[in-house]
Amino acid sequence: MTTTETIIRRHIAQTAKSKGKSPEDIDLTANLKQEFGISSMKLILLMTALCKEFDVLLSSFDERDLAVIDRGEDLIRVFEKVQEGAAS
Amino acid sequence: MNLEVHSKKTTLFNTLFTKKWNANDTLKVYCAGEQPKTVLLSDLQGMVENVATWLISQGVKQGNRLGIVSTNRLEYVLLDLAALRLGLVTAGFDPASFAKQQDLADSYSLDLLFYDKKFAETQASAKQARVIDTVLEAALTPQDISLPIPIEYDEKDVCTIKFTSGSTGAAKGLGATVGSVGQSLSSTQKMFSHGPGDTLLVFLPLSLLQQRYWIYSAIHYEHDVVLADSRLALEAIQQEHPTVIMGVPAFFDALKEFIEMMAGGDGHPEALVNAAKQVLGENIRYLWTGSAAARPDTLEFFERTCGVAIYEGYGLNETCITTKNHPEAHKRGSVGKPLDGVRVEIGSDGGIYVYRDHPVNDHYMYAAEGVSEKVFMSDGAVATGDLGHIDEDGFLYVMGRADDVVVLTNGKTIAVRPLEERILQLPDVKQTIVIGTGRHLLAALVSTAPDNDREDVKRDVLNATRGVGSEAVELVIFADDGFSMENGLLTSQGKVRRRAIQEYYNEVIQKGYGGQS
Repeated sequence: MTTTETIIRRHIAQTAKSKGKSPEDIDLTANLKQEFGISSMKLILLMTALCKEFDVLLSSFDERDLAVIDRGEDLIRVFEKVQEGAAS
Repeated sequence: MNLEVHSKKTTLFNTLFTKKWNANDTLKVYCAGEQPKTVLLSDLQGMVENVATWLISQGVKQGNRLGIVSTNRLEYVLLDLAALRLGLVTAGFDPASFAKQQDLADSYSLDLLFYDKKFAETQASAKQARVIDTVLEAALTPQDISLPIPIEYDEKDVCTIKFTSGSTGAAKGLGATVGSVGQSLSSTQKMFSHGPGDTLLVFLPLSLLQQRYWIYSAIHYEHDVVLADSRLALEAIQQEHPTVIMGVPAFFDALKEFIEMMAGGDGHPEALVNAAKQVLGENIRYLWTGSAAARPDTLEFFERTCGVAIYEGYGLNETCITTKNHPEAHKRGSVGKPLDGVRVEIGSDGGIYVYRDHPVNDHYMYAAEGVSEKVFMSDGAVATGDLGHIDEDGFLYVMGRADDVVVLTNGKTIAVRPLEERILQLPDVKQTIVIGTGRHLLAALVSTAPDNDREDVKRDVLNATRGVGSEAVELVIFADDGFSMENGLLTSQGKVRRRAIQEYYNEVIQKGYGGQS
């Protein structure tokens, strides 16, 4: 498991307020809204918290990135992309 | 109603373009995929004048109608101010509601329509359509045309068309008078004294006229303003440390959860205060909320737990800002006292009626036949369709929409809002409406986190409404998809669309009631 994935699992578990669900139990292929109740407003809060942890700005994500985030695995993909961009 | 009886002069728009905009104040703009842009208001003035001359070069004339369908961005501000400078009438369309409507330009008689191609490419085929990106280039390019002197507005002139997203049906269009804008801004200013040292954060769509007020306020009363795409609101808060955040209840509900999460979840007051400071910054003066009813637990959280003032207010598109809590007059649970120049009366039907020195208008510009007459009364009142009462100190309390009343088959008439407020205090309940018209008992349609124990939630909801009114909720039905703008069950301002919700969940409601009334 990459560091990015570990952090994203932890934040999804916190945001979803999942009772008894540990970060390891988070299904990254599940729909964030349907499975964890993470609505569009909460998704922004989740992403803002992740940005803070990864030390990137949410404004560095473009419309295409923001439009395709439905699942945990989407979050991993866009955050890895932005981190790669910041490193290069 | 005769608009001419109102003689009080408000001159805000007439002075806005004759003064020099302050070089110490800034407009900062956050858009997705871009570095934030900072513009000195003194520079913004030059950019607006360039856009105004460019618009003239495009053939526009005073009184022409200019549509904008875009999310929040610098170009939106430039166009709006340039249009005001030239005496055009703007029409702001929220992309979430209008982007896919193909005939915007013709339907609303627009002379020009600026669209954001990321959200509203469908508008491209109209002959009046222009990509909004072109505005920034125009702002940076002086035109070889002299700019006429600023026009002198009459208080009754219409400067923009507002569209009600409508909690009950199709959007209605309403021309807003210059006088109504000036009156709202000056009376709000009396309550909050925005000025040097203030930074107001605006992230709700600029298609809502009230959000554009804070740009005009920054120029007129000389303070900073931060404009953000709504998705970047929290980032803008953390980067800019605003003194005032202009929001809606759903945003502050989410912000409360975020602060609780940052505090570590054990609910320790000191941890929550520290987390609130970390999230909101040290400069916060107050939070502004309105457009829909705030959750009592959210108001209490910010005020009592975090020590941050949050002021709830009341107003419709048809009345503009009507009442507002503020530092000198605040009662939690009320929506405040009327603004200067506004009078609120409760009719014999329990309805809220609003009179303004400078009315927004006396009719809709776009609405079905007969609709204007139901809202704009002949004596100048706006019939809000909301129920309320005024306490002995003059604070208004909104009890719900007149159409929030449920009539059970036993003949009892029940205002459901107090029941809903009580249910919303339950931590596991995210959203609810209470229904029951034409049925024998009240049911709560409830949205909750997916992994909450439904039996626990049911028990809590049933207990919560006992003793609140003459009837308690006796049935709990779960709304698995919740109510959101995406599924069309909330308006763009976060209000519940009761009829749409009941249609959407018709099957589960029928099942919940056991297939019978």
